[in-house]
Amino acid sequence: MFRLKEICLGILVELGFILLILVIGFLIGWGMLTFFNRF
Amino acid sequence: MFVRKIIAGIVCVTVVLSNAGVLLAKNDSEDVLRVTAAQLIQKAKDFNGKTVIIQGEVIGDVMPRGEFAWLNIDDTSHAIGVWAPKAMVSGIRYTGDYQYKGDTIEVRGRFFRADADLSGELCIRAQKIITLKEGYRTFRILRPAKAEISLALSLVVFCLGSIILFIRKRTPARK
Amino acid sequence: MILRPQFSDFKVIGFYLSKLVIGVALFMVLPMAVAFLAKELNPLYDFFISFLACLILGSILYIVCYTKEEARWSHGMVVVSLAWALAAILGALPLFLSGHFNSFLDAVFEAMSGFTTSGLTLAQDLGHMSYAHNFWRHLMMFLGGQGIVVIVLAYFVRGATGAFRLYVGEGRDERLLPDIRQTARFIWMVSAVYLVLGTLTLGIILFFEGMPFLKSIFHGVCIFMTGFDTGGFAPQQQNVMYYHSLAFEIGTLMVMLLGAINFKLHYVLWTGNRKEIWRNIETRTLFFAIMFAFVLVALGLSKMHVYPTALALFRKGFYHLISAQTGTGFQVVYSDQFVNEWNGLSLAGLILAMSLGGCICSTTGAIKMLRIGIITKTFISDVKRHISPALTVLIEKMHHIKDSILTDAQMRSACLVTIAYIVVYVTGAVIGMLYGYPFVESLFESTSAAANVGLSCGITNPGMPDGLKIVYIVQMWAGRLEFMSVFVLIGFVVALIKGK
Repeated sequence: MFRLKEICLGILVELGFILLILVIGFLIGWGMLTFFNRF
Repeated sequence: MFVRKIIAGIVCVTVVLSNAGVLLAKNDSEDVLRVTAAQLIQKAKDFNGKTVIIQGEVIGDVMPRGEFAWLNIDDTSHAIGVWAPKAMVSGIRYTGDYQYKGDTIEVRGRFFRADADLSGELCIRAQKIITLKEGYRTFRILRPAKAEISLALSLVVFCLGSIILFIRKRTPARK
Repeated sequence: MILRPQFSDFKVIGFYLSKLVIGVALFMVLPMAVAFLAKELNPLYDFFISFLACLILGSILYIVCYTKEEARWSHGMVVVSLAWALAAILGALPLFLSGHFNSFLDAVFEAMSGFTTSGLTLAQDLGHMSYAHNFWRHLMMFLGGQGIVVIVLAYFVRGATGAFRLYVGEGRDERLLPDIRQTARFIWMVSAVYLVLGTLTLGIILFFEGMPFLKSIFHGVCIFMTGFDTGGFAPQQQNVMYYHSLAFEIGTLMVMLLGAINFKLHYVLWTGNRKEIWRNIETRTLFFAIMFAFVLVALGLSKMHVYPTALALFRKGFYHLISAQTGTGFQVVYSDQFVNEWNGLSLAGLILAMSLGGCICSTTGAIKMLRIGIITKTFISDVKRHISPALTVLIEKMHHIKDSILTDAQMRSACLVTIAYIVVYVTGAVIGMLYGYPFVESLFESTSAAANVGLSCGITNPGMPDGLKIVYIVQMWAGRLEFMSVFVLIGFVVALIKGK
């Protein structure tokens, strides 16, 4: 039922999704801060 | 006449220098505030950027990071982080945990609510650290009551365990 | 007509409870081993006494209530609600004996917070707590996050039907595998794999950040357990702030989000269907919920110039948003700072995130993303119905592992549970205000308790009123079980009194 390759790829997909959330979150914060520092 | 002028000059210089010293001392004591960790946290905006003196026990670990180190001190009101040059923390011998009381130190440094150079950390950037009292090993003796209670409960468990084994042996197994 | 419970009902409940109590006892062996290795004699005896007390209670229940009858639905729900309450009382024993709690009530609060993976803490002088007691605080979260009933199902319960009824009573209704015990074991497998990977990662980060090796592993395993199980306890009183490490905070962010993912989704992704990560209604809802809530938080913090740089905003603002959304409760600011520095808009963003929670069948609490997704689709469907011609037949679909039609029963269930959560959040807030706390702080703390989050704005402390401690204990307990088990227990008691 579980193959090591599939498990590893599954873990990588999960971590990739999480990294995407972190990166977009950072960009949102950076954008907000830049906007309010400028105006 | 010449001697009088020299004496007057020496007196003037002395007066000027001592006033300067008083002024410096006044400025020094006005800028440096003795605080607790709780005060710093509750009034972080007011204390931001100010030089403070705080005393507390070093707890946990001194964590070296390159030329500097992080430590945390607990003055019973709260625990707060201190960022200090590695050389300043080399004298710390004991850090507080279950088995040790940590060194009690006095830290003088600038407090920051959200230090931009440390990506937003609330901390004190240490300028001077003095060990006020060295820590020590706390020897904890086992309370005799705990041993007695354990023995009594063990006997009860033994009896109940025997009853359960007896029940399971008598009851046929479920198919 | 309400039927009064019979003696046989009590026997079934007592018999299943006995296995759970013995399970709790067996898990106390782990902190005993830690105490032995760390040469902590008093803690060793604290756990030994508690272990024996649990064995005695479990044995008495086993002997008195021995039965071969399988649990019915009502039994399952009652067993689960009582098991969690009992686990909190038993788990409090070693904590109370440690001397780090003002009263037994405080210790029960801590244990309930631990097992329900809430994270609100009343522990004092954490810096001088023994490794064994600290490990137990974190282990309770790991056990609670997996579901203490799930643990027992996996290994102690023979009958599959009764086992399933217990599983559902614990607030989980996702069938991962045909046999519920296989489901329970799969949940443990995922946790075990991530335990090894997560502990190594966090431990290595701490080692490179200046912590001694063994301590790094200890802290790594503790923080992983409470992070993956979205609990929020930490070995030191400053919580994650103690480590002063961006790398460690990023590691914990990843662990928290992993814990917030549905175990069914883990199963699907680990068996080859990797596109599900984006097709799934829950992951999409989670993604948009996080971004929406963070816009509120970041707007409030940026407008007031609370943090000077984007990195500081990420470390403090985004970190707490994820901590709130996943229901973990790790903190990197002091509680007072939420009140003194964060403005109303940012706190509103955090409260919103806490109230919504993570995915269903994960380790998080609160309303959960599947229900939010269903309610959103219900709303859209209703709007479509109003703007469509009268005779139009509208079918709303959703994709959750597989495509399915959204039924009225699902919509009703989602709405009911959501309303129940909101009522509990508000009730707790009102009670907080009756004790003299301001509205925003009361709502924050009440939501944190009922949604099993653990972020605190300062209300939770050893000096808080005992009445409020009891209220939060009940909120944590009811929130963890998603209310149904608690309602059934109340119904059971009513039937006992009024039944014929």
